[in-house]
Amino acid sequence: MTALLEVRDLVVRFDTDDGTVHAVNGISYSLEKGESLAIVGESGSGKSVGALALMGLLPRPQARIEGGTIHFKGRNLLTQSGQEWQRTRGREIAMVYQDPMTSLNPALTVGQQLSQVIRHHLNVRKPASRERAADLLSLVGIPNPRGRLDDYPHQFSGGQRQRVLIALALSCDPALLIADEPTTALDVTIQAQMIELVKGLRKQLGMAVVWITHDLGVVAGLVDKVAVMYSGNMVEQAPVHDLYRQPAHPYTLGLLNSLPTLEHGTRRLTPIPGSPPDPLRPATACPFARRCAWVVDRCRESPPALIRVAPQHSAACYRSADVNRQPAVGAQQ
Amino acid sequence: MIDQPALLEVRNLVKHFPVRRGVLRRQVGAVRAVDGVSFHIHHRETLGLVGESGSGKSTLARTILRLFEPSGGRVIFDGEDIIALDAKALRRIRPRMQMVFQDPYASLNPRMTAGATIMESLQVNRVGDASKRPQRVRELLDLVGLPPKSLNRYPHEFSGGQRQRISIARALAADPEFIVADEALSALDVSIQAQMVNLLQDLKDELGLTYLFIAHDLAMVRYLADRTAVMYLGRIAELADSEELAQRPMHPYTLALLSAAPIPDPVAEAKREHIVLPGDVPDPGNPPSGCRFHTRCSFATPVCQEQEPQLRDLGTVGKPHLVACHHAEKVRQHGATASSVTQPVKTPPVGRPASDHSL
Repeated sequence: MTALLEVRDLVVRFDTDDGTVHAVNGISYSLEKGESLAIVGESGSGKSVGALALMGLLPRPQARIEGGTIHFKGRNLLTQSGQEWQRTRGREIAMVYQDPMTSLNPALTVGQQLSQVIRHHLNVRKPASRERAADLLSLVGIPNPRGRLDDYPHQFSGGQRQRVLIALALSCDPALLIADEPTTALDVTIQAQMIELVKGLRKQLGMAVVWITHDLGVVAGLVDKVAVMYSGNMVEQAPVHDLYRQPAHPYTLGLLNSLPTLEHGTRRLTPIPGSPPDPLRPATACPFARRCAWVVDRCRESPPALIRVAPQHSAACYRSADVNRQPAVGAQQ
Repeated sequence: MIDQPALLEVRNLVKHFPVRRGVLRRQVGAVRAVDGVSFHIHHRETLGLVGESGSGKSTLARTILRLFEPSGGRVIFDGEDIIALDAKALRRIRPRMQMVFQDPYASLNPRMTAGATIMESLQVNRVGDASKRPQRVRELLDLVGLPPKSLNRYPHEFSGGQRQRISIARALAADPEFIVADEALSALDVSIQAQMVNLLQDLKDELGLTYLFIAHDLAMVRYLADRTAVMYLGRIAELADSEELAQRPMHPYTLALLSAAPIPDPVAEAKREHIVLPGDVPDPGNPPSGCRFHTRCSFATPVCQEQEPQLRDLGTVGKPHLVACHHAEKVRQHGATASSVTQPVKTPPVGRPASDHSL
């Protein structure tokens, strides 16, 4: 059986006045139908660039896809024509963006924006598209959906606007939903609402979800597997339980340790020292070496490849066995 | 701690913003952003202030510093009523109270180097000798963990976390005793937030600072704050020792905030109870009758619609635990049984490298 989505050795470069930015350096992952994946990384790790490549939305001409393939339902998206992209994007792969304030058109009612998308992709008439728009608003939990169709985005609260964006993304029953930091700008209470909503919708509609975030805390209860990105590289990939229980890359461990938990006792967080390397310089060593407490000479000589450390669990670290061996706090007691 | 007079005392503070309509701009109502808030902060204490957007926490902070003129109430800083001060006296006291803002992109002048930004604060606040100021700028950069070469760089050359370090250095330049950090970490990546939390903690120990730390993330506040106040629609819903608040929440809103904070552990996350608050914060121009939270509260009964609950102390001797809820006892009970909300979560792993580095 072929996977729904298969990304292989994707390389993306940006040409800037200062030189070439190595944004994505050969990442690979796959997603089955209905499966959910979180891509986790800091700003500048290349996580959003990878997602834009899936949507065919990389800024041209600055961005270049230097290598790799993206197969969706068996066909290579990267060799698609512009017209074919038009049919894929929004229809089969849809995206929810970070900022609900700027990604809706303030001059059109929510109903107009929804039915525009529906008519563009599904070849239905106006009354039917309006009907579908109301159904979508009700699906994402907006009270009085029929009455709200004629409201403008500014008449919705931040959380509701994010719901409208999700409704827009769902309008054509996509097989894959990409959510790029959809909760970062929101309060924790609204974030919790969004997570419950996407979880429920995924179950109900059976779509696959890629959730992009910088916060490992958010996705623990949400996804099946997690991929961690650092400086344009995929440094670890694992089923969600394994990643949190047995992180095999020092960076993943660092991310987990820098999270404040509601755990009693400790008064100090353990941050990752330093900052990510300059993406203008191609890596000749492990990109995390300068910030890593496990670093050995070998790390500075050549970058480690992503290798399997357990079934379905891979990490790009020479010392992953040692990182892995560290007991969890809970296990000590 | 109790005998010592508080550094800051806020008494029944009120800030209403008038709502004007029509050609005559007649006032038709008021947004009651801060509506009768009282608390105090001791010397060298950190008070956390938590609430959703629209709860009035930023307005409260700005009114305390008199960046907004209050509509009522008093703010007493080190024995002096700030609200009563004239412009000259206010200028004299301002260096002692500084603020770090939320947005590290908007709160720094893009045309000023990091050095110039900090220097300006030294000059405006008339700190020390003019001849010694360049040296002081370098010391401040070092204090917040920025390399000396940052001196001549502009904001766009720094990352978000580094910019926030410049903002902190600028605040520290005035040699303050009291710092208000208004969502100072919210815009940063989690890994950078951890660095900043530790920096703020170190600065506090080193310089004997007092903080009002505002955030919407209870987990982060628990790390930094000695006591935490939870705010909802312009009023304090609950105020207690930070540990106590996290372990024994007595206000349904606090309970919901705790339950909404994600736990970085798939097992615990699946097991615990999720209280998802319906809807958003109501319009503060027209707050619900009685208890302002009753429209979103699962504990609400008819009395909550009619009577506004007052803050009462349900703590033990010497450990006050203030809560404004008619059903606080019931909520405490619930919190105790729904252990998953309050119990310590065991993960994430804390790894140290194995001692041998000889691979």
